[in-house]
Amino acid sequence: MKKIILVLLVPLFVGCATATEVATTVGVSAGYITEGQKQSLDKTAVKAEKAARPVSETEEYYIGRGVAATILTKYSLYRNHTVTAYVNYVGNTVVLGSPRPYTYGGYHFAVLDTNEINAFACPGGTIFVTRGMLKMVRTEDELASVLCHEVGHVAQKHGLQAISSARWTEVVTTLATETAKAYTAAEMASLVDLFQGTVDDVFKTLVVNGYGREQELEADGLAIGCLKTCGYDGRQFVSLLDRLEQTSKQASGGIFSTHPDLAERIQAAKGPCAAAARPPAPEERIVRFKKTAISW
Amino acid sequence: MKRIMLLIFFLVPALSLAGETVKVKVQKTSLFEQPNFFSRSVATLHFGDQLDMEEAVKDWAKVKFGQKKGYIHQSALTSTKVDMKTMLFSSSSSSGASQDEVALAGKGFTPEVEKDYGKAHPEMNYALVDEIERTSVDPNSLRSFIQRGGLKVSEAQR
Repeated sequence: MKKIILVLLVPLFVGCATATEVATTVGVSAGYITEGQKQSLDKTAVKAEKAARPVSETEEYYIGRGVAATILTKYSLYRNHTVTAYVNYVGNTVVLGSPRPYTYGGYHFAVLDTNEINAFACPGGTIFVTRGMLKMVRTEDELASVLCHEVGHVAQKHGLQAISSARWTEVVTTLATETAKAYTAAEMASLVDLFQGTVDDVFKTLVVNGYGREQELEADGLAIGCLKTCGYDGRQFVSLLDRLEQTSKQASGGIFSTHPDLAERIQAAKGPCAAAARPPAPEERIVRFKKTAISW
Repeated sequence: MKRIMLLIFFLVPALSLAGETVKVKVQKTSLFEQPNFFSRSVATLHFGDQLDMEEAVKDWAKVKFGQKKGYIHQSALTSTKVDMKTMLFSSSSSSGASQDEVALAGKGFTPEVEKDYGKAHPEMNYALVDEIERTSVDPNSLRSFIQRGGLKVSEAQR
């Protein structure tokens, strides 16, 4: 019975094989467990750690790069320095007000050359906004609303939640215990296949199916908090959602196929956005928006 | 049963001891003089750099890097300290369960995997992704953008 309880205790310490080893060493020294039991517990802890570990931040980065590369096979990049620089200024401003201002590779914002109304957040921090979406926004505060929402998805690692748990378990359990240098050709081929499947899982959620209702509401909540922190007018988040909902009555595809619950989101956002109201934007903010919007 | 309780007693201190050293988990960042994104940088930190944690100041950590002291945002740090709550109640691939990010680098999806994937899928334009990642915003220009636009950031992070 004691042995069973000891084994059951091990998963509690998943992710800390070293600590488990320290404890089991102490256990052997004190005569509580045998050397054989220690080895068994240590091995179990290592296996459990491998099976349960989350996607690391470096892996998140490489998955995000794969998703970004896939998105760029579907859409062209809009290469307008003025527009890209402005979107990056607004984006990096809201990043500093987010709960996760740092990721492994940092945040980067880019514009896709399509009239489709949409925005995508790749894991790790590359965020795309379409020219169609840029044409929908009427103020810098509304643009900040779009970018805050996408940063919210990155901060909460929503993209990674799209990865099939069976696939991730396979990734983790098939890994060699050594570093990548020790991978055999077969292991590497298997990892490349799993990487492709993982990228496809995330891409399909971002571009085809959309996030779940709760993830959208969570990203909205983070966006409103972020707008407030940065000094943008939270009420303009609702103004934008209202306009998107109106547009959805005459349009289809893009954000309207991946974000079907606009009415519910508007209802949920109204109260928090009213509490995040800010004074009118200064002239500088209005002028720089208008000057850049001519180019998108 | 007493022996089991004693084992747990030994395990918990072993875990808490692991919380004093933290590591940088982002490619590159600054060690700031103050807990503020626009404070003076006293050192450049890279992935894997080890820091001695002194205290947490809201979202920031006061740390020592060699002989230099300064602040780093906690989202740029990993720790060997175990988050028991996350570990016990979350098992998804996206959970923030405590892991030594630095130890995990080089395992799983690595630059080598990306390279082989890119070879197998030449339609993936990684050069364009690299171009996007090279887009950066100068911190001084960003500070000016924020101030001139009547916005704020740093105060809220304190």
